[in-house]
Amino acid sequence: MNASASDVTLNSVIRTENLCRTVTDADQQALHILKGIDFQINAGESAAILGSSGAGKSTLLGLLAGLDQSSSGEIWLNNQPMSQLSEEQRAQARQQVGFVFQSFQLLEHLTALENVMLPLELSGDTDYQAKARKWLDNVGLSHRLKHYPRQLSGGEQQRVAIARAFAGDPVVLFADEPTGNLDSNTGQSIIDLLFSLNRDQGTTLVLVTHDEALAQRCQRRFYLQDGKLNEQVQNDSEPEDTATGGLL
Amino acid sequence: MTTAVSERSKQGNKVRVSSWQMAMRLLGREWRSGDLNLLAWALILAVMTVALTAFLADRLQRGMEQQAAQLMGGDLVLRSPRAIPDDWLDKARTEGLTVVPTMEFPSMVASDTGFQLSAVKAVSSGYPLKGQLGLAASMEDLAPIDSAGRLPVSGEVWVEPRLLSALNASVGDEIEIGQMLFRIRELVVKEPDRGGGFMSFNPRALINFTDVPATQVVQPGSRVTFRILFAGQPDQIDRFKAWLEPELEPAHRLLDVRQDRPSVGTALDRAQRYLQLTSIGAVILSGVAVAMAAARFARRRQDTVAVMASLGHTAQLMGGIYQRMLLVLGLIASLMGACLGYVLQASGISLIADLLPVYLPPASWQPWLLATGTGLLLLMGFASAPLMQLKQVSPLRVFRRDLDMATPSSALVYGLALVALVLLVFWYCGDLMLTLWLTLGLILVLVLSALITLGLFRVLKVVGPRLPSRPRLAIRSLYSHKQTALPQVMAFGLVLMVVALVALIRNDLLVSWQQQLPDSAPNHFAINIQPYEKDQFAATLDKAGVERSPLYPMVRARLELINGRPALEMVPEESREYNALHRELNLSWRSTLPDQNVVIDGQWWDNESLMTLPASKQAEGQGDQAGQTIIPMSLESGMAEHLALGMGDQLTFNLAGYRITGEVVNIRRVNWDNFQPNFYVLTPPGVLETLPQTLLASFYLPEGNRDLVPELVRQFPAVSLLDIGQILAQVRQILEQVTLAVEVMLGFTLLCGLILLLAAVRNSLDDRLREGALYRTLGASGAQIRQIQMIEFVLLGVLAGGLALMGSELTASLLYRNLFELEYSLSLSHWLVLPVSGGVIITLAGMWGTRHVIQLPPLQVLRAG
Ligand SMILES: Nc1ncnc2c1ncn2[C@@H]1O[C@H](COP(=O)(O)OP(=O)(O)OP(=O)(O)O)[C@@H](O)[C@H]1O
Ligand SMILES: [Mg+2]
Repeated sequence: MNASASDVTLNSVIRTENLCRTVTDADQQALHILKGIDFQINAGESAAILGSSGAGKSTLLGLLAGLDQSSSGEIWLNNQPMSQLSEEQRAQARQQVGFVFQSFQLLEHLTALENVMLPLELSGDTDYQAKARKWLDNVGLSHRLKHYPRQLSGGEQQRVAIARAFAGDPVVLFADEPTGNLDSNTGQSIIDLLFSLNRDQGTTLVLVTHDEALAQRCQRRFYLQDGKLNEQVQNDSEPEDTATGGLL
Repeated sequence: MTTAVSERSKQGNKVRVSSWQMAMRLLGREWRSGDLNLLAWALILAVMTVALTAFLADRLQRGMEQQAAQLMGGDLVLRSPRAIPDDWLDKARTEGLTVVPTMEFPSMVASDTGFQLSAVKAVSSGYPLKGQLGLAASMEDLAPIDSAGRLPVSGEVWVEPRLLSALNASVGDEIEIGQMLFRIRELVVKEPDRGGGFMSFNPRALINFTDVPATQVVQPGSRVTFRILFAGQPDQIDRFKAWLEPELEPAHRLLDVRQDRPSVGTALDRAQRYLQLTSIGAVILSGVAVAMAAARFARRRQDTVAVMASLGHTAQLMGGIYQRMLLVLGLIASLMGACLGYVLQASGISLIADLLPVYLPPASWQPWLLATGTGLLLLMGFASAPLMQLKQVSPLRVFRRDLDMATPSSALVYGLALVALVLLVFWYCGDLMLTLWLTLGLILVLVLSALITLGLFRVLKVVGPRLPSRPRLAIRSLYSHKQTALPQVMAFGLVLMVVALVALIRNDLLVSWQQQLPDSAPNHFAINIQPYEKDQFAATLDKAGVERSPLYPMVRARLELINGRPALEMVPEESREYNALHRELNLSWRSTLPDQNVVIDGQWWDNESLMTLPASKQAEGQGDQAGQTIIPMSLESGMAEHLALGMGDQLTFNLAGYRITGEVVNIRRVNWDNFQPNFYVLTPPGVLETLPQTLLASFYLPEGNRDLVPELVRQFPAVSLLDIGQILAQVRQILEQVTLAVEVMLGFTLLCGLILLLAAVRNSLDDRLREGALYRTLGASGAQIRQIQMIEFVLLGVLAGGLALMGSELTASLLYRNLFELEYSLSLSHWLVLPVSGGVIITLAGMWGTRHVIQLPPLQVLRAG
């Protein structure tokens, strides 16, 4: 894993070319959510995607992670062109990807521990239980192992989802508003966890967030507006301005 | 609902109206959203299945009734030893019934060259009410030709061919019946209602009803049977019957084709029960489908109701609106289902019409009512419980997802379903026994299967963690879904069970019918064989290579005393006219129990029990009538029942002045349907041998070997030969008909069961689809997911198959004895077939239903769910 991780540092982990996503609503009206997106994220980088509600951030993130199919354009995940892969091959590619859903998407009928164990078991890890416990401990949930998702608070569910994404030891971690439901203290510790992963394991981070503080800690920031993605040039001294600029 | 009204008491009316309006609006919206599709289809399918089976059963049953009516002579037959008052017949005519009086009496018939005792039957115009007389062209060509409604006119006699041989006469000759001369005009080879008079061994002479007085044979006190045949619509029959019954005297016997089946009685009875059972099976299948669909719908609407409740519209109100919506949906779906069922049934029958042995009458209006009514009842019984639970959803569920719908009321779910089921079953068969047995079987199966499934889940939970990852994950998934998996397993199991039961009973019914009348069933009886000629008679048959029964000895005697008192005084009043009291009965002796006889009370004798007949009884008997011994006797169950005789009763028979007394030591049920020689009373060997006796045999003559009959007649003039080939052919035709009915119903049940099973599996896939997609996002490969799912489906299917096995064996063992009077034996093939087919069908259906999980991007699957 370490060898391959250092391999990818030389290349882009994610690259898109003229990526578009169009959906139709109940009246068969076409809705263009993404209208040609070109960008690239290199291995080991951390990136934030910002944008107003309904701008298409979640849609973009799902496409980047290979969970959905683009309408046109291309995505390279670890230099593999996703649109040319079959769903089965995309699943293969996803084994190096962790994903935290905006709506958590925990398995309702499995306990917190079992939820976190699942990706480890699927990848054939024999030490799945210990690792799952460790990750739940890391997100501060060692006392909630046997709880079912519906017995957990929103923030707790979010942390289980994060532990589950971390547990797979991903090369790229996509997180859709990972701190959206957390108080500032807990949020902060989760953010610390994310960046320590980024620092220690070289995990690439792609985060969707409304939280400027979180966005500021990322190396790169992108704004999604009117189906287009614009990168905000790094300006550490004036974070407020960048935010305003991005929204305008 | 009531709370909602009282909360807004001022606008009570308005709320009520707007609830309906809301319901209609919602129906349109829900329909478009697609969530109602499954429920609507389940209902339509359910009602269609019920309608289909109801229409089919109705038509097949009416077809069978027509056949039976033919065998009996009419829909309703009144038998009497005396003339029937004219006003009874007038009453029948004013009710719109067709009335045909007939009468039968034995009489000597004489020609120039001989005489013969014959069974004269006088018929009036309209005879036969059902079917046709079959006439032969000549003695050489006995193939039946339809009489086309013709009857003997005054002065004519139509005769059975063997009467001609006995009289040595030919067509065109004159014969004398009593004081009147008749000219022989036709040869009768087929008489549709002959079956009813099977016991009249003498050859038939058919004359016109108006000629009876002129013969002067019928005098006060002579042996005459009037048979008045009635035909008409069931309601006309019922009205007339209701009027007539209070007028009847003990000597009268009223036979209704729907209740008093002629000699194929048990076959028809069983077939009818089978049809009922399959219809009920269809109802159960449909109930399962509707219940699953409704539960799914309610599950998916919990959030809606919770949110609406949090916005100030009580769950009560919302639940009420959903209930109304469902009622409207139920009405529409029921009507659609009934129409579909009708069309399918009509086209299905017209497709196979050429294969049917007889014409099937069109369906009546009842199935329409039955099907739509069933749809609504199903909806109320199986769908309203989940929706009632919707009313209990707490608005807090919006915040706390663990506030699931109240589960304790699963008692309500099963309770309501059970009540609906019992009502439906009773409605279908109008038979309390059947209802009780089925309900009992079902409850037993449900409770047992729930316990067993839960137990197995526990075992799986313990075993699971030690297994490799894929079975481990599959088992964990199954176990963690136990709340939904349990009803699923039970539903699948129930569907399989119903289908298995229907198939199982069909097999055994067909086998029992084939056994009843094998192709080589004896078609001739020889009676009055004298002891001195018995060896020669047997040798003659054997030389001709004819398959024959042993020659049974038989002693004819009249039942004189019961427990030492005159028999007529001892029997119940209504049995005074019972035939067995007024004619000589056949007694015979056996050391072993005859084939197809079952001892239902007491014990068959073996050598030891013969020795140990209670001494006290012997002494008592001897005290009563000195010089006589008490003989153990075995009594036929029907006679025992009619004459209210039981174990230990003493019977004294009179045999031309010679008395023998015996004690009933066992009661036998005799199969009268198999046309084998049967005896009312049997004794052990060594008792009757010294008494005057004749012998009786039955044998099978193939179509081409009829020349033997004239030879037998010549060689053994005293022996009476009786050709029952005609009756056998009729019975065979009826058996063929019921077999077909059973096969058709089985086919449809299999088909409906399969469709409903597929629908039920499809219905259970929501969670699996979502979870499959989530596994997918976690990097599971297609092979991994499919294998995990497959293991899960196989487990579910095998479990369901196992439950079906247990359930069908259990229910079958209850039903067989109590309904079909069949011996029940475990069927080994089921033990393999059911779990395997359960596993295969559910796995295939499940895998098919979840195939998108690995074909579509996971986000698309998640969004579609
Ligand atoms: N499959 C779909 N069908 C129809 N519309 C869709 C589909 N997927 C996304 N959309 C629409 O595309 C838009 C973008 O959705 P998306 O979830 O990506 O927004 P978002 O930027 O994540 O918003 P938020 O910050 O509120 O989460 C929304 O208006 C949504 O309704
Ligand atoms: Mg979003």
